[in-house]
Amino acid sequence: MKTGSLETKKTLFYNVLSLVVVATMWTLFSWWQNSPFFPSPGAIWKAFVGLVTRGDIEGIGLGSHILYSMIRIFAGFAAACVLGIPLGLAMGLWPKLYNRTRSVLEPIRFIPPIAWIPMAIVLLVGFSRYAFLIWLGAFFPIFITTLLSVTRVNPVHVNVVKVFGAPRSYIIRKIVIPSVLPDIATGMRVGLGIAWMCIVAAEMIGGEMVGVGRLILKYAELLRMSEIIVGMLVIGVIGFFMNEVFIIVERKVFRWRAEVSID
Amino acid sequence: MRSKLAAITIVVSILILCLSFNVSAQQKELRFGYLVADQLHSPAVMIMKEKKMLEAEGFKVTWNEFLAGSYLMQFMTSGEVDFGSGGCVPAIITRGQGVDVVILAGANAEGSSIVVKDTIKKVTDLNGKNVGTPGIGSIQDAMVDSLARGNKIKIIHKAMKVSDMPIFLQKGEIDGFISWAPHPARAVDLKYGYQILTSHDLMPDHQCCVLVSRESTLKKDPETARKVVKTYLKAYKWFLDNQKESIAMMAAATGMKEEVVLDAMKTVKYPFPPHVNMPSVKVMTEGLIQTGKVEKDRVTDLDSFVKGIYKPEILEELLKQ
Repeated sequence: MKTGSLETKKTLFYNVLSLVVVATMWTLFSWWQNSPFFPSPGAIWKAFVGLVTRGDIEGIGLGSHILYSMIRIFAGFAAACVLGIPLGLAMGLWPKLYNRTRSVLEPIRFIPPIAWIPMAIVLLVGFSRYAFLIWLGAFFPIFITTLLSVTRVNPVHVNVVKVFGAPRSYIIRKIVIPSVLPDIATGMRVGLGIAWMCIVAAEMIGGEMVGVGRLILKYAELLRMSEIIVGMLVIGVIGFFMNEVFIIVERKVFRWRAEVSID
Repeated sequence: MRSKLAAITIVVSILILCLSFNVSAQQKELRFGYLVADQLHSPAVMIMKEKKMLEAEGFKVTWNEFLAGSYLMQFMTSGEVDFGSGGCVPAIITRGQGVDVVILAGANAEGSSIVVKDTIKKVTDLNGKNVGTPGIGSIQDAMVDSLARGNKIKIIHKAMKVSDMPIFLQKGEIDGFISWAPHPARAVDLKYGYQILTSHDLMPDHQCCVLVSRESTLKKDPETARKVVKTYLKAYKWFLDNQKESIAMMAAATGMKEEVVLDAMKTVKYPFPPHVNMPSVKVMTEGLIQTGKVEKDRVTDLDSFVKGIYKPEILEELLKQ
């Protein structure tokens, strides 16, 4: 127990040290460059405070930008989970379903969300446009991970309950779903990361002046790097915290996995 | 036999290398930026490109197309574009960030319009309404700011691609939009709305697009700068003398009907010689400082800032000749 706590302290120390090293290097480089296009951490902090207290060039606060982006991401991400998980499960359980539709599914998977933008502009309106593009980005990692995890369910577990005459519905409920849940969670984590990547592309379409992606683009037009970096850091930090929360939940919910595994 | 073959290969390779060096020595590379569907505002650039006038002057030209002037400025700042044609507002904003961007000549005056839905009867009806603009760093966005200030109303800006604006208007996502010609004329032609104001109503004879470069580029290679401005003037003159052919070229480049282009051209002015309307540049700079788009502490003296952005020496020297 003591070793574990020491290790945690060491991990925390090295993470803080990494941050300090990067910040120092950044400061030195910006001092050496002496250019408005490579702002110092102080200038970035000043821009951050300005965005929080006074808002951006149009008076929209950083909090509003974050809130709108989060709502869009969660809508797209939730839609991706609602569709990707059941579809992945169904196609994993009935592989024929996947084999007979892969000529449709697989090519769509390779079309990047950004390529859908012109169609999204014409066919969709407002919020649905953002949700659609984020859904596109998050759907396939969730769907494919779910699909593949079903095929990797331990046959020993399945065969044991089959020997006892368990029906298919029992096998799905008691063996398949619990086995694939950790993989689904991993797929969701990957999907969430891609959803954050899609937000800048989605907010590039325009039509709205709020959202972290839009904030970055606004200041890109004004060539103000400090505010651009604030936007980038906001995306990075929120993504990092969401990922950490996911990992903590995963560890708690799937604690049984290691204990029950017979591998 | 083998050594003979190797010797021949080496000789041929050296010959090819020498020839390619000779070609590159004759042709100077030039990277020129322009805006998408901006042929009506920068006709001289369209003519230079279509008629390969810069190539005829011995340049190997790389043409780069940008969605708006601010993107062109980003590439000019990074040194990926040597000369360009775009709005004077992005040039002012970039200069305000300490980049040595300079205007070498004007392209057009006025040429932007506001198109609104039929439900908007007068300008004050735009209070609290959504108006599409090509982006926060554009001249059109600055005009919406000035319109709102002048009428004491609040207009919500929505940044978008100029070519998407008619679609957003038709779908009711915006109540109006401001763009450079011919996009407003296109929306009117499609019956998505009507033209409520032109930029003439907002700021008569205001400078719009300009020919830009960087002081460092001019200093490094003044001869190239001179040749570019000379070719630009030649193309400008050609445009004024051959309007019919130019309109056909504009229609082909924008994918719009000639009647729409002709209609749109009514809102654009082409002053020749293409001097920059400096009083309007000053007014725009003041507006940009007021809205915070140019940081106040970066412009200590407005007059010298405005004076510093325009370098008419090459243009004047060529006009004298």
